[in-house]
Amino acid sequence: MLPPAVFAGAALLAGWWRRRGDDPHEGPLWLAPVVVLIAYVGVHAALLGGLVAPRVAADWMPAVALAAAGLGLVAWRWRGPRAVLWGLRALVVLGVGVACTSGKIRHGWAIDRAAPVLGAFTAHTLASWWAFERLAARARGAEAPGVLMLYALACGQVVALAYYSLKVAQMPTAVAACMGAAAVVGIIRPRLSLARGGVDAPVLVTQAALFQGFLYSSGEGGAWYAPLLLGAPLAALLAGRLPLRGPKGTAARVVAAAVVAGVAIGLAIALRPASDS
Amino acid sequence: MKTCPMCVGAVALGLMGGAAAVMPWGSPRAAVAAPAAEDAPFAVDRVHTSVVFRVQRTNGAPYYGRFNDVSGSFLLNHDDPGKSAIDISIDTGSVDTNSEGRNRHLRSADFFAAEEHPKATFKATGFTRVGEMEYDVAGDLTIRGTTRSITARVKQTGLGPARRGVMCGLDVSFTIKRGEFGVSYGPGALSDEVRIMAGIEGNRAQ
Repeated sequence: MLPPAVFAGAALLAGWWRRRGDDPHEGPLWLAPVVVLIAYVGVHAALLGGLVAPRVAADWMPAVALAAAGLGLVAWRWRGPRAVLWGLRALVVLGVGVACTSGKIRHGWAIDRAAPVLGAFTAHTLASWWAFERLAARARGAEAPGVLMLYALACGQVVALAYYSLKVAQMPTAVAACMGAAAVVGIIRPRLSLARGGVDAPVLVTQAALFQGFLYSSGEGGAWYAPLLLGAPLAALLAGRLPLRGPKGTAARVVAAAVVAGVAIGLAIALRPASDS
Repeated sequence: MKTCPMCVGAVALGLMGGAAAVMPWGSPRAAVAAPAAEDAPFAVDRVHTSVVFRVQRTNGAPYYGRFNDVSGSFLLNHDDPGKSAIDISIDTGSVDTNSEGRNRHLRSADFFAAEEHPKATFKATGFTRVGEMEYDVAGDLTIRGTTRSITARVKQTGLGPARRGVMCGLDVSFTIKRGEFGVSYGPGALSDEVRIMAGIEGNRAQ
């Protein structure tokens, strides 16, 4: 995972090097979706020996990353009603859900079986998206990418331990590598921001991989990890409300966000579908 | 001793009929029925069928795994190979490597994606005789939703009466490149070439 991290770190550092000013909604905000897309597709092609016509749900992931990065760029330029933007996001999430579920639908899942699962996936993804977007809009620097990195790493762990597919598990790990690099850049250049579309690609790619792990896992166990994972960005958001001021206060808030998100993530990993081996 | 001419005639007719039934030329009725029975395919006996694969671990030993759930039918017609047929289906979720963790990894999208593609199939398309009871069988192999034409060496290893009908055995082997079927995980750790070996036994009613 070093190449995507180095690439993302170098690109984001170069893009944000000269950034001045305090507004988190200004700067080269278009860069994050593009960087995540390029890094992800590169990792995917290397892992799966190139881009192929979709035969399994995992083969759709480059298209998911492309759609997510496209949504990120749309969000960057969006000046219309937010409800329309969220409607567009909901449609794309639903499409991603259908693509991931196609293997189940092909082998007998009726609409009454697929609809609740797709509805839950869409709701979970949009809620995560909202939480991360709020976090990115409020906090510049390392906080949002740091929590996103933890989230993506946790999803990768859950997928690896529940689904046993190391390839699918490495997909959110590639996102985590990008976000880890972004967090480092956020420490060096505290003006870095993931507002206005910067979280779209990381969130959607991670959610799609997590959904595949949930769908095709052969292990027994509940889906407690899903709400707990959702709890991570929400807890980080709440930690951001702590009355801490000044440079030390900012650092303390970042640590608090990471700790509370980490607790939720740790519980999610502990409560993953049980392995029968 | 008096004999009944009618009884003698009946016994004689009965003996002639019985003899005709076991003689090579058979009776007219047997001549019609026999080809129909010979053309009937054998149903795969999953209990006595083994499908084994061998993959080479880099710097290690060949590793063997198997599939436990195999179904389908086959027929080898030595007089007219064009009437032969092999149609085999394997439940990819039944992969067994003596390690549940590895079985689950093999069922995942890294290998067979068993939830999305629960069956691997082979359907013969052509038979070329290469020896007595031995054929090169061309056919379509489908794994993970990808179909490729392959050639398998198939040898009939047995044919004869069974408890309920007739049984037949085949020894099948061929080599594939797993990457051609999208099973490309671990190129540095596992060989691309995978050898498939199968002992397929089938039964049919007499």
